[in-house]
Amino acid sequence: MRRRGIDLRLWVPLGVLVLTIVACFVGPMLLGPEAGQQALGERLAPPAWLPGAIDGRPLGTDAFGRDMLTRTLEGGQVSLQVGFGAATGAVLVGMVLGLVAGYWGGWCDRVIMAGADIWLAFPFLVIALAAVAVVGSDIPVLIVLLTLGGWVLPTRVTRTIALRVRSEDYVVAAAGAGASDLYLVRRHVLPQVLPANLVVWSFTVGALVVIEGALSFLGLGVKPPTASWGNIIADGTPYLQTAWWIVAWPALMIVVTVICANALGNALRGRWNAGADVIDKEVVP
Amino acid sequence: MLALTLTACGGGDGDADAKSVDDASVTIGSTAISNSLDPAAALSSVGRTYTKQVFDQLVTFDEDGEIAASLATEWERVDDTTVDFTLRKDVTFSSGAALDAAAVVANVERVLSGDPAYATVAGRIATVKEASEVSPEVVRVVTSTPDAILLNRMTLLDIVDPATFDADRPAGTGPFQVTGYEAGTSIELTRFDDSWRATDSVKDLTIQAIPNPATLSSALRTGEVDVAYGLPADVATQLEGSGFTNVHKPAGSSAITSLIADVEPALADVRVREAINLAVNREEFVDAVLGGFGTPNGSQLLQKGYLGYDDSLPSYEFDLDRAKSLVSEAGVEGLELPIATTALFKAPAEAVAGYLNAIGFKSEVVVQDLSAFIPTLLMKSEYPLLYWQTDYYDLRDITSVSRFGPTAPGQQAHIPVNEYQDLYASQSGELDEAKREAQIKQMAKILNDEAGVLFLAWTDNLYTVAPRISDLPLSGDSLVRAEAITVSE
Amino acid sequence: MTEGVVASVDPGATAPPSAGRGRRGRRARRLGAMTVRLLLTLLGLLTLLFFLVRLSGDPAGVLAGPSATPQQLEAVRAGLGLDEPLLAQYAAFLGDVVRLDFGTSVFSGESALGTALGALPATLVLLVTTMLVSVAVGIPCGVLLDRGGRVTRAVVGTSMTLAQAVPTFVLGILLIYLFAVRLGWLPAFGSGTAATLVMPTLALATFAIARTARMVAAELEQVEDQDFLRTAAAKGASTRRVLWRHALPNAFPAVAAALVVEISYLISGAVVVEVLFAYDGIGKELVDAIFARDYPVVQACVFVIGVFVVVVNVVGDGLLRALDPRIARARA
Repeated sequence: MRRRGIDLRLWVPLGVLVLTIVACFVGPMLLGPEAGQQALGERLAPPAWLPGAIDGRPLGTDAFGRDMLTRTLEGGQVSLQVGFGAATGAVLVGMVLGLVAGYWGGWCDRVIMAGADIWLAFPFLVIALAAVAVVGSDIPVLIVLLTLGGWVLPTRVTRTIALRVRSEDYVVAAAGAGASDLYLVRRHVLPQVLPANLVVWSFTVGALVVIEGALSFLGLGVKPPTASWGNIIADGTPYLQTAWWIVAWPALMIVVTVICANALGNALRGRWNAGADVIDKEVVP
Repeated sequence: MLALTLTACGGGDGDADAKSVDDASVTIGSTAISNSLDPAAALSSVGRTYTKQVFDQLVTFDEDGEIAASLATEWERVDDTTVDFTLRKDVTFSSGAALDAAAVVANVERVLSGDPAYATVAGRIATVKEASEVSPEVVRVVTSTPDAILLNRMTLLDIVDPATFDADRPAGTGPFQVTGYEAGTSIELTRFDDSWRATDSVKDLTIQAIPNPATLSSALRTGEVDVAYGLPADVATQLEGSGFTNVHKPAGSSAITSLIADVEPALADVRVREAINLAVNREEFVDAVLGGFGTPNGSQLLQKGYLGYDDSLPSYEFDLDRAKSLVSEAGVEGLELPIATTALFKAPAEAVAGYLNAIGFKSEVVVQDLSAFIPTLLMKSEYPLLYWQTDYYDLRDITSVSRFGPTAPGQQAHIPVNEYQDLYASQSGELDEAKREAQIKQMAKILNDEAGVLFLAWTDNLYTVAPRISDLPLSGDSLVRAEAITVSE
Repeated sequence: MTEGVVASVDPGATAPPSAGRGRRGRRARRLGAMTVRLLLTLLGLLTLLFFLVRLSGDPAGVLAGPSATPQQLEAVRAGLGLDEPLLAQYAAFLGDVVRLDFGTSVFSGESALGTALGALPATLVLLVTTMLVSVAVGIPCGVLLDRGGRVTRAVVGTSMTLAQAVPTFVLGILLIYLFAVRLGWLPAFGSGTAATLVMPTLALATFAIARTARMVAAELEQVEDQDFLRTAAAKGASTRRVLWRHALPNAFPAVAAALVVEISYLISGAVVVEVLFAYDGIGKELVDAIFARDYPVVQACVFVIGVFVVVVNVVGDGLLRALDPRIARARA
């Protein structure tokens, strides 16, 4: 497929993701502030193609009479900010720690990797539950929290690559010739670490969007009436029998986002060979 | 109003034609159940569905909410601080012991012992100083100050066989006894045939905790539970289409939002408080959020039938334009007014936030765990608005809403009006009913004039009942009377 | 599963370099390192949760009830020892933990450790059935992914992609709706009977099935290139025989290793599933206790889960070494 110029496996998921982001952040502006506001008289109206639908509410309304199209897009703003933000944070933290551990090694390496092992043994959701119950649940808090949920994987990937690059003959030779550590990292290690972490980032986005959903579903996400995909689903669950559309749209959006993020990761892994074997060993989606 | 609601909604569909069965098994599903089998250690309202089936109190509320005989058949006020209760004859505990004055005295003494485990019940009978035995049939209860509502308080003291105070399964005199218990999950009860209240209809009763409302509604549909308590009103209404019945009754509870000027100084401006009161369409609120299971109220805390209810107080009505103009007059457009509440009240609080956003405020809902919300409510809030529902169906009196009364050091005032707090303090010791009524009416007028609280509605207790249950009678405090349930074939 | 990203076993991440001593010395060192790691994990977990749950709210409010007076609230707090300085409470707590004394539940008055241990078997049953199902379904799916025809591969591949993208809580809601409400085949909630185990297991296992399948497929692809398989095939062994006798057994250790590492992720997933299905396991017990700030039960549950995770890791590691000498060599 690539020979024809366009790699569909890469560009289709990327396109869908970009489209989703644009829709979520631009869409509500186009629809106007009124659509997302409460109108108890118009509650639980079905989508446009069903009897009883209300004009201007193509995907129906929720239990407070708010437009489901607007709510789903607004919910995406939160879920995507948290998912992309935390994945970015996790990869940045992971790259720094992984470089320190892999390139300089020694006790730094041992402490960081032991920390990673111990952290992996914690059931993360339990800690997240307790933390959110304590510090509240604004978007920045959720981003920091989920960064903590995702840092181990990029750290390990980065460390393994850095370890390997450092022992390559040409790097050892350059170091012997007096090249500084910073130069070596920038010149030789980072070019291999970055693409690998972009792949990890892709997979992490999908995973963290799901965790944000789970937290919101347990009632620990952003504050209502602010929407997130998880809290719309939680609020809509009791109406599953009569107003399935409340749960359906955000659930669909989560599934599409996660599929695209995973597909993007797979495509990127196929595109860049650097570190692909390391990622294969660490991630198995 | 009570009778009307019950006829309109209580299982009116054909108890006459359906044949009722004896010795039935019934399961009540609830979003939470008693945390303990010991009624003195059980938490406020969550445990009452259980304790009401196994234990009795000296007096109780009848279906109309009037004080009625229970373990005591007569009572007499000896002086301002003393009441003598004469006990019902031939009452036995499920342990086999007989009820006597000494047993009642032991129960009072245990609760007043200062053990923190009994703090909830101790709070309910806070004015009681001591109890003593006059004769084996007569108990004397003495209060530290004159208490106008001692009888109301005694409806909350469950009498346990003192020999079983420390037993795994404390014994009571009610129509059921415990046969199985899984902490926090389920309580299994079987009829206690020698109870003075025993009937033939229900033999086995299970009280099952199902915290997730969606799961609870599924369980009702699949027949795993016969009666559900704690379903969202919407879901309950949906179920009516599938043959389920909703039994509901005013519980005396008032849905309100406290406006705390201590947190947001703008709330000290009466125009802001008035704007908030005019922003809510209460009919729509009751229909949409409470599923119609409640009565819109924009006037006062107490409802009809309660001492001090004032018919003539005006109710704040929905007026979007005036609310908006008051907001701009006070210059508070865009003011942030977050509402703190607990998971149980998330939906109504979210609706209030929606109304406030429509008149130019910025409001969101902060859902706190019960463990964080209770100190927020009782002591000090960081949020200017608190959505809660007064829990006074257990006392049926203004005294229950102590939160608006005088404050202790460190406690935030919700109603910083001295006159209101003085009246609150004086009415509780006023034994002359007419004078007391006048004082309570004056309190209501102050709150109304000041728009000191956002009144929303008087809410009902709501039970959703499977078709096989043809009658679910409720007591005066809106709790299930399991022994009187009628099950059809 | 709630979490999608899983780091697989990283051989030698913490293992000290082989010093060329005897096998016994290595084993002792390994055991020592394991013990230190176990203790660090537990201490970290308990400390984190100890402070987190205390930073806001406390059980006194719930115990005293919404109609309590401030004096009553204070009395209840003092009765529970919550008026002491936080660090003093922490020191006392660590002392109690060493003696395995977690105190009694603030609400039920029952032993906190007993409550936690009492809820563990239900979770164990759920985890074991989940693992069995994920292996029993995941391995055939993995074989199909690698060996199936074009159409089979596409169908299985798509299902696995979906299975990895649908969050546990969404799947759980759909299962309840379909099997309990619409079809009426299964109870919507509860625990204790085989029927109540079906939906929680399905909700929890779906993600693990997909992961197992992908892993088996990847392993098969790798193993197929190896010399001994070509030799076996050249000797005239049938394709099926090569698969079952040679390829799969070689893929198995990787699958088993992933399951062991995944245990803490599975427990996170179990928390959601247990809450959703009102399944009385340790996850639901813990969530309830966190919400009610029932400190002793929170601590006991965290301790039990922590010990469980570490023990599974240690035992699993030992089993893996016995299963596959290559891992033992790689980790030595």
